[in-house]
Amino acid sequence: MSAHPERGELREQLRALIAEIGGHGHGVIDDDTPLISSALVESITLLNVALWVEEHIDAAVEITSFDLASEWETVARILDFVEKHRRHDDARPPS
Amino acid sequence: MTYEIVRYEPTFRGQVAELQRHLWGDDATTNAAYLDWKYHENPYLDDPLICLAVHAGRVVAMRGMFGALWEIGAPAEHVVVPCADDFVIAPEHRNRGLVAQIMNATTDGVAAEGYRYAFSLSAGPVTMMASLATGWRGVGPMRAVERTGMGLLTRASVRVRTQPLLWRYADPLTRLQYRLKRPFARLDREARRAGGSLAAGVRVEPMPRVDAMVDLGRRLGHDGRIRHVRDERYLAWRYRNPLYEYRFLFRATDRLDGYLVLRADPKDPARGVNVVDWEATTPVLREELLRTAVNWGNFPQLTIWAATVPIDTLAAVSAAGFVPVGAGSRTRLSQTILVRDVRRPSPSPDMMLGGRRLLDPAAWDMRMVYSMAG
Repeated sequence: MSAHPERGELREQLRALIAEIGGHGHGVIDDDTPLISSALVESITLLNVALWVEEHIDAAVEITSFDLASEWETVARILDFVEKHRRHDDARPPS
Repeated sequence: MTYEIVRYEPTFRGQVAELQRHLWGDDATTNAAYLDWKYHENPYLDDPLICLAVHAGRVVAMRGMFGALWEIGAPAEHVVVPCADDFVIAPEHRNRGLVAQIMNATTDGVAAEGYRYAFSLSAGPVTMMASLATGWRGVGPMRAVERTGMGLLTRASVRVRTQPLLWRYADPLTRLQYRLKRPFARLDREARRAGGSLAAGVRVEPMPRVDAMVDLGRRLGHDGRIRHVRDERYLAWRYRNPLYEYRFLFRATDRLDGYLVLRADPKDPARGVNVVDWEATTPVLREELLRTAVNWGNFPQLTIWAATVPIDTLAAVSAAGFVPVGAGSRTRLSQTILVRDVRRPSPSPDMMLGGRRLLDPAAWDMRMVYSMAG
């Protein structure tokens, strides 16, 4: 049995974080809402998302070594990112 | 809220100096001097390339591009590539969608001037995230390493920290050492004590020896990697930065054999001292310059970007007591080179300049002085 939170729990945490830091209503963000291209998520919120991701993969994220604008564009993609790097126990995303 | 994104004009100078209290420093007069130096007196761009966001007649955000002249390849091709910096948004206008607007307007401005690429060399964590979200790509971290000196007050602070009742005075003692001493006071004193004679080997001076430094650079040559042109025009301009104070360690016989440049922030000495440029004809002389800076300065905190140090000198840096900044921390937001192809809508995924891949860290011969961390 995995010690990691389920995807549903992570989703709620992430939506709450984005809503709180970004000052948005929780309801406006679903799995496929564009976050970066729509400017819903800006730099300080992204920084907090990066720290949240690091906490959940329990390792550092080499933030400049992947296309952040694409790979973190939606809640679903950020959750995919977490699961991918947690599953492989590898902190560094592919460069 | 709606914002008008406009190009900087000199009539905005006062408002920009006020806005930049959030980034550059509390003193608007010094901010205005920095604006003049960096953008109006820049040797490579005739007019300041700055975008401003205006709301209700007030400047509420800024993003600038200062001019920089790069050389690439052998024989060297010279190319002006603007460098992004000074991104700031007034606190009451944050989280309102302004980041992407002003970031994109600035890179569009670079494209409209006919440039293909822009670099960003001094982005802090927030600006880095904003940049990565708007199409910038990272080349690689500069791998900061630092050495913590043990002056009298530092030693006292360490000792007090473990004592019952007295531990609470440890942090004030640490802060006191920065307030009491000008950053280069000890370095200057030790240099005077050494007599400033040729026998001392190394001399410490407050101003660059422009001609001799340029001559040394020419003698050392260029391996074709991407680097800033360090000619007379550049050096004469670069070290007039009004925000910082510099010291130049020169090692010379009949002509200059090596130099090491230190930078301190007199307004905020707690930021420590940085090695911003460092050249010598041999690894032995490079090591002597570093050893002199360390021993004479005994700075509470001295920082070097390890990515800028030649391989044959890395062991000397380590032997001098430098360790990676933030070792053991997860966060990987150390300063890095960021690159942007400013063409829209089709930027190239494989950015090339002078036959070099811009995203390849090995293509760069970087120095801290090229960035405004220097």
